[in-house]
Amino acid sequence: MMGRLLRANLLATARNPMALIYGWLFPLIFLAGFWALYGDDPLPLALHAGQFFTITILGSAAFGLPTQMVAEREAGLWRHYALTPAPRWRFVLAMVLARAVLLAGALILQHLAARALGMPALPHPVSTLLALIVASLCFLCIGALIGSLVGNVPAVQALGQCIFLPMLILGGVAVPLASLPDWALPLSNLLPGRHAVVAIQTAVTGTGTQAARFELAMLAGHGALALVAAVLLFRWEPGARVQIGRRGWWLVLAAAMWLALAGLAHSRARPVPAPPDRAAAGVVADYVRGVGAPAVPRKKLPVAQNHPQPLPSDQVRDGLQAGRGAVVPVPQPVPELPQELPAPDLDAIAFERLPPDAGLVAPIAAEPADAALANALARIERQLAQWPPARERDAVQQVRNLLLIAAVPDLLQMDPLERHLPLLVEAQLQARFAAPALQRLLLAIALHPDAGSVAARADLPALGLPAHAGPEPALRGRVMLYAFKLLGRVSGRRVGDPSPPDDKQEPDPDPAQGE
Amino acid sequence: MIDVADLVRRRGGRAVVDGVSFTVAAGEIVGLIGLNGAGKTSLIDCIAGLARPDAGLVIVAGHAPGSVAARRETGVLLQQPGLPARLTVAETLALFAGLHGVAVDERLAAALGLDALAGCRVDRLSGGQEQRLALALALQSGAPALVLDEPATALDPLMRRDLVVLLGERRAGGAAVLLATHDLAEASSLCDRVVLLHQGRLVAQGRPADLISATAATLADVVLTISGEPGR
Repeated sequence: MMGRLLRANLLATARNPMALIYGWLFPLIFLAGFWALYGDDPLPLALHAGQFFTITILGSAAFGLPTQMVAEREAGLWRHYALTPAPRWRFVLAMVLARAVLLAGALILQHLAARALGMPALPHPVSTLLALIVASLCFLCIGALIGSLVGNVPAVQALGQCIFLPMLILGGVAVPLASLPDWALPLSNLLPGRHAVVAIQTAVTGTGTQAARFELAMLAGHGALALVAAVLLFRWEPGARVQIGRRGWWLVLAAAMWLALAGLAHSRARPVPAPPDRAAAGVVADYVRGVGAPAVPRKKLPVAQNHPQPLPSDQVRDGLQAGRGAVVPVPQPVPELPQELPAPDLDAIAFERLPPDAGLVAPIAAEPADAALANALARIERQLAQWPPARERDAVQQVRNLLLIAAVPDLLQMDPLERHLPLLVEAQLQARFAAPALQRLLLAIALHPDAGSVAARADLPALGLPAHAGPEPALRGRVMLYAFKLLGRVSGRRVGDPSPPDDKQEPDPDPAQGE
Repeated sequence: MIDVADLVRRRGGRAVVDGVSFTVAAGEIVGLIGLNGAGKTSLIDCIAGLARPDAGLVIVAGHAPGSVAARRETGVLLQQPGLPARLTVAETLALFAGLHGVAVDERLAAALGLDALAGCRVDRLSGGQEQRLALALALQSGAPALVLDEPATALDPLMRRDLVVLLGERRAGGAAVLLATHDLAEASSLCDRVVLLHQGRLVAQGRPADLISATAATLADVVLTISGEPGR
């Protein structure tokens, strides 16, 4: 029975030219708008995939599905269905699933168009698919609830807008939560839009499903409640009033659970920082006392010594045991260590001016990685053993390549991965170089961010990370920051934030270093 | 099979069905007759489970109207049956057969001339073709209780003749058929009994021949006389 209903709905939808035009063309128009705004990003469109995919889903759910439901009810089709022994929930579910198939076509089309416009391949396709499915079903159930509530097609537009616009503006879909006033943040918890954006974005530029399991669970909860309410309020007859009757208590219970979900989301929400200028890395002079930086030869220098492979330092090992990532030292080709690297004058480095580790620019995690994140880090670490840029014989270049592993995810806002990868890089560096040599190498990179190559950024997909395709200066700025920060950590001059995190301490944006 | 007792249905504060009682037994065709606004469609809505009576009782095949069991035991043709516009005739037959948990009745479809229209989309059918499709949907479930609201509407004479044959077969098979109609000649020839409604009230019921012999020359005269418009 369900199969026939689903097939009938799919056929009816496929033969409705307007549904196809609105369902498939509008997402491309949304995408063009995002492309116009964010086409020049380091990773075109990828950082906003959560937003434009969610808008596509939301549009189909808030307008497409309820319009079809109400139009069929007005035409008397639902009245005819009411004469059959099939229960009402099957009709609602079949319509939701059929619309989900139409929506899947729209999302595939939108993704292909985004790829054509430069968006990189999805690093976690299965996680992305899961996030899109859960978000789609959640919003389509809300669409079914709209269809159950309203009595005619014009009313769909009215109520649909009442859901669509607040979700865009207050729900974190089109306007970032960080841009909202304080009073609006609790309201955003009532709406599942923010969870959809986070779940999808985490899959596209983050670590995948496990890191977004809270958001996925919230979406599932919102969807289930909406579906229950849609079935309870469902009407066969055109023009009939919503009959609540004995179902009232169930609706009250559903509403209470909805508020509980909002409360749970509110309690779990992290503080929303002020919108950062993520391009702001500053310049070398920001972090060096006095005038000018010591000169470092840029040419490849002859081999000074072959350094044995040390085990991770006690500090890093302790950090790993605390759950910051499972790093196992992997034998690497012995890199060439330039002989003429300067002896580090650490007193000349203004470590206190570096962006805070808890901030948004060049963050470093202070808390242990959870199990999901630890798995992701372990996977990256395993792949790193085979990563050619990590086997570069030029030691300076090898360190720079490794720093890219921290710098690129930071630029791409791959939270929470971006905060934990620097620890992995630090452990790798300490496994490869003795502390004095490592300090010299990091200082050389920090003081000369424009030297060497960052071509290895294109090889990051081999580690399961997205490639970086944007302007080099922003990336080199991040490499510089992490070189300074890791220098502070390995030398013991700066481990963690010296004071409570304050984003205002971050350096002013420098147009020359902009993304 | 279909039992209606003291049924009252109000709309806008006015009783559109007012204390109506009758039964339709298995193997019987009962005609529901009345002028426009007599309450036939409201009564059928109550029997089909689409409307809730304000008072009284309806039992269909032993079940309350609207229950899953009652819907399984009842085939209903509405006056304005909503059909899935973008499906073909064959797809629509298959869909509703699936919803009733039965196979498509190919013989019935052929008898109603739908086999030649199998690939036609519903929104491209004529009024008569739509009526034949709706009739097939009501009959193909094989339900023992049939409630048909003006089934002959828009049908051509040949198809009306075939309809009479089909309903006769169902009666012979033990079905209880309630037939709302304006076609009094059809009611005279087809129905075992007729129930006359006027302004929501049951004003007469019995075998057509008995009503005709008692009050008038034809069933039409009976209806007009009872409705207070004998000269119309």
